[in-house]
Amino acid sequence: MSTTDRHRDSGQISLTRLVKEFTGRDGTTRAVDDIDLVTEPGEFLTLLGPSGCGKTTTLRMIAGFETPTSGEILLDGADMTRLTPDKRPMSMVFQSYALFPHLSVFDNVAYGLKLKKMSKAEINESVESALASMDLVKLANRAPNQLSGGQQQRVALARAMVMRPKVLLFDEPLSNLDAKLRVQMRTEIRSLQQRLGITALYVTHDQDEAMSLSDRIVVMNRGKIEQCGTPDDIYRRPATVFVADFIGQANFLDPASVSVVDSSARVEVLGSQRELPAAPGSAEAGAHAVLVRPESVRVTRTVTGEAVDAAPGESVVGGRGRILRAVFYGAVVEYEIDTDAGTIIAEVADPDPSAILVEGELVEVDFPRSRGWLLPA
Amino acid sequence: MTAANTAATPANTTLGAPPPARVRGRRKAFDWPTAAVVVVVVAILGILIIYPLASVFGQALSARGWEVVRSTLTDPVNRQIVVNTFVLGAVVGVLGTVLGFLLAYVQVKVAFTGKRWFHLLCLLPVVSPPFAAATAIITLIGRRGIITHGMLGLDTNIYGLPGLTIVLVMSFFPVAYMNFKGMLENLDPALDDASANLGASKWTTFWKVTLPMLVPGFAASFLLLFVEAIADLANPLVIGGDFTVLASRAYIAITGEYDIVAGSAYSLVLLMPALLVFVVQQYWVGRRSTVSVTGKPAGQKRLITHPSGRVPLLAFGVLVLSAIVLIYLTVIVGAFTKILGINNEFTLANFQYVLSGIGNESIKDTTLLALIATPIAGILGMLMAWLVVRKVKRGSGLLDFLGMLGLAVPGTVVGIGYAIAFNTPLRVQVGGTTYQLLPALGGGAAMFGGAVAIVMVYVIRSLPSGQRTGIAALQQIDPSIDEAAASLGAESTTVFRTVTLPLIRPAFLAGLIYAFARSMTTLSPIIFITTPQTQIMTKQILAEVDAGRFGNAFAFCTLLLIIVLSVMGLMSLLLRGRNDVRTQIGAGA
Repeated sequence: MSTTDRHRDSGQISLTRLVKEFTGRDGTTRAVDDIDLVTEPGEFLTLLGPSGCGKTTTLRMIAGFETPTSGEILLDGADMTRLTPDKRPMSMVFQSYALFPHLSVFDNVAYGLKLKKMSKAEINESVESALASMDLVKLANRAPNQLSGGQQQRVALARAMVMRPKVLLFDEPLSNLDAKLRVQMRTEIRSLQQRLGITALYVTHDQDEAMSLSDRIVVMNRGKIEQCGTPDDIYRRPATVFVADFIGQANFLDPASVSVVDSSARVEVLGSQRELPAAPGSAEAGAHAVLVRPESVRVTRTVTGEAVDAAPGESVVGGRGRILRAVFYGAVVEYEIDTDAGTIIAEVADPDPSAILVEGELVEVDFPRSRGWLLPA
Repeated sequence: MTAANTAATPANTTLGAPPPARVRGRRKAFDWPTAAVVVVVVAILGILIIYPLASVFGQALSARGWEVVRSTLTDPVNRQIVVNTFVLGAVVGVLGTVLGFLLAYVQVKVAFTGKRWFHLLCLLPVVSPPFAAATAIITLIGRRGIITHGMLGLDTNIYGLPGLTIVLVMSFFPVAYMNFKGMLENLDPALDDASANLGASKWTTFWKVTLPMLVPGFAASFLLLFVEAIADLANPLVIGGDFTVLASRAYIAITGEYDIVAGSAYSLVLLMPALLVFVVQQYWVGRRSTVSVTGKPAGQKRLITHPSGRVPLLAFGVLVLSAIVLIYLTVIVGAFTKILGINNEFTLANFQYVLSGIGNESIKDTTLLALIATPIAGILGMLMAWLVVRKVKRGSGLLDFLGMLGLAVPGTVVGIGYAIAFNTPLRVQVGGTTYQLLPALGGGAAMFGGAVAIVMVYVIRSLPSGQRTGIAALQQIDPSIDEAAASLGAESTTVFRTVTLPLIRPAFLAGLIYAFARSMTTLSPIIFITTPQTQIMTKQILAEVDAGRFGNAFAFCTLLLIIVLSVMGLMSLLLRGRNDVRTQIGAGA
C-alpha cells in the first residue's frame, strides 16, 4: 500500500459512559458497564480480558453490530452511536475470517470498493497493491476454501485494509491459527498498522498477543475497565489484583505490616522490612498484597548451621522455605515453595544442572526491592 | 388505515413535530431498508393468505354459518363426518410414520447396493399428480381390479376407509421417510458402540437407545401426516365412496349445493385441528429433538450385514418399492391402453384426446402459471428466511408462522377462502365514498380469466418449503459473513443481494424445484377457483376420473409427470454450476 501517515491526525475513538444490557430469560445482564475510553489517533489499543468480560461487546458496539443501551460513541468528534455498520468508516477483521465463500480472493478484497462505486481501474489498482502487500498476488483467483488458515486471515486483513478505514477493528483474529503462524501474523499486523498509521482496536484474551502488539492495553473484567496502560504498566504496575493475576503468573505475598506514604510503602514480608513502590489507592486500602513475579524470585539452598550471607545494599534477609515441587521445563525450572507468606512460585532461567533443587530441600527466598509491588487486596 | 390514523396526521403537522429521525433518546440504530422489506412482505402475505382466511372466518361465523359449525357436534350425520376425518388422520398418521421409519431405517442402516435408486423411488410420490395413485389402486385392486378380481377372482370393495388409507399412506409416507432419514444419519454411531461396549446386543441397543432418541421424530411425523391426511381432497373424492370427510363435505357444499356459508363452516371445523396440530408439531415437538444435528457424528458407521436382520428388512423394502413401481407402471401402461384390465389393446387415443382441445390448453395454462409462480415463491421464501433468521429479532416467530400458513391451512380451506375473497373486487367504504382496493382476481369475470388468483395460490402453497430450506441453509452460514459485508459498507438489502442470496443458492434451487412440482400437482385449492378461460390439468384429471375415463386420466398423469420431471431436470441444469466458486458453507479452514 502506497499511502503512509494518512491517518496520523484522525481515527480518535471516544466512548462515553457506554452501557450494554442484554435481556435474557434470567433477567437483564450488563455486558458492558459504564465504560469511558479515548484512543489516540494512530494508536494500537487492545481490549484484553477473560471471556464474558465485555470486550467483544464493546468492539461490536463500536463497529455498529450492537446498539448501546446508553452512552455515546464518537469518531473524531462525530456521533456514531446510531449509525448502521455500513455508514461507519471502520473495517473489521473477524475471528472466523468471514470471507465470502462464493467470491474469489480478488473479489473478496474488491467487495467494499465496488460498493463505493469506484472506477474499475481504481479498484484493480487498489486491490492489486493490497494483495501485493499481503503477498497474495498468486492466490488472487482462488476460492477462500482453497486457502490455508493463515492465507485466509491475510485476505481478511487485505479486505479490511483496502477500504482505508479510519479505524481497524480486530475481533480475536488469530485465535484460529496455530501457534507459530500466530506469532508471525502478529508481527505482520503490527508492522502494517504502523506503516499505515491507522488506529487499531484489537480484542483478544491472549496476553502474549496483547503485550506484543499494543501501544496500550485495556484490561476488562465483568463489563468494567480494570486498568488502561502500556504493556509495561500492566505487567509491572498493575492497578488491581485481578490485572496482576490475569497477566502472567503472580505470587501474592501476605505482608505482616504495611505503612504507605504516597507511592511507596514500608512492608514487612518474608521476614524482613522492605521499601516497595505501591499502586495508587494502596494508602486507603484496608488489606494489601505484595506482587512478586516468579522470575523475580531468588532461591538459594540453605547451608545448614551457617548464617545466610547478605549482599550489602540489597534488601537482604529473605524468608525461609521448603521446596514442595520442582518441575523442569527445559529453559526454566519452576519451584513451588512453602513459606510463611504463602506458597511461592519461583522460576529460575537457564538452570545449572548440578544446582537444581529437589523436593523437601530447605531454601532461602528473596526478591530485589525494585521487583516488588504493593497492591490493595 | 383507520379514521383515527388519518385524523392524527394533520394534527401532528400543525403542531410542528420534530422530524422523527433525529429524536433524542431513541437508542436503536434503525434499519430502514429492512423495515421497508418487512412491511412489503407482510402486506404480500396479508393478501395471499390472511385476507382469504379472514373471509372464510367471516362466512363461517355468520349466524347461519355458526349453525352449521355447531351441527358438526349435534347432528349425527355431520358428527360422523368429523369422526371420519379424525379416524382417517390417525390411521394414515400411524401407518405412514411406521412405513416411513422402516424405509428410512433400511436406507440408512442396512447394507445393500443401489441406495440412490431406493431413495429416488421413495421420493417418487412427492412429484406424483393427485389421482395417479388412487386410480391406479382402483384399477389394480378395486371391484374389477386386475389383481383382486382378474387374478384372484375376489370381489373386493376398497372404496371408503381401506382404499383411502392405502392411497394416502402411499402418497404421504415420503414426508416421514425424509424426516427419519435425516435423524438416523445424524445419530452418533459412537452411541451404538457405547451401548455394545456396555454389553447390549444389537436388538437391545435398537430398543433402548435408537428408538427412544427418535421419539420426537415419531411425534413430528405422525402430526405432519395427520394434517396432510385430513386436508386431502382429491383422494376422498375419487376413492372415498360413502366415507365422507370434512374436506369433501366442504367441496360438495360449494360445488354441489352452491352454499358458500356451509362450505366455509365445514372449512373452519377442518382448519382448527389442522392449525392446532401444525402449531404443536412446529413449535413444541420440533424443538424437543434429542438428536444433535450440529455435532459431527464420530466413529465408524456400521451397517446391518447379518442375514437375520438384513433379509427381512430388505424384503420389506423391496416389497414396498415394488408396490410404488407397480402403481406408476399402471399409470403409464394405462395411458397407452384402451381400458386397462378389461380391454388391454394398445392405443394412442388417450393422448390424442388429451393433447387436443381443452386438454392441450390446460397443459399450456398449468405449466405457464406454475412457471410464473415458481420464481416468485422461491424469492419470497428466501426473503422470508433471511428476515426470520437474520433481520427480525422480535416477532420473527410470528413472521415465520405467517409464511408457513400456506402449508398449515388445508388446501380446501385456502381454495374456498380465495373463492370468497377474490371472485369479487375488494371495496372499502370510507365515509360514503367507496374505494376499490383490489379488482376481482379470481373467477371467470376477473382479468386474465382468473389466472392471477391461481398464481397466488401456487405461490402461497409453495412458499413454506422454500422458506424452510432457506432457514436451514441460513442457519449454517456464519453470521459474521453478513457482518463483514456490512462493515465493508453494504447496507442490509445489498448484503442480501450480494452475499446471502448467492450463498443459499443450493437451497434456493431446491425450493424452486419443489415449488414447481407442488404447483403443477396441486388440486384442492385450485378446484374452487378455476374458470372456463383458465384450464388446470389437475382439475381436468378430476373430470376424466369422475366420468370414468381412466385412460384419459392416466394419459394426463403421465404427461404431468413428464413435464414435472423434465422441468425439474432443466432447472437443476440451468441453475447449477455456472461460474461457481465452490460454495463453502460457514468459514474457517
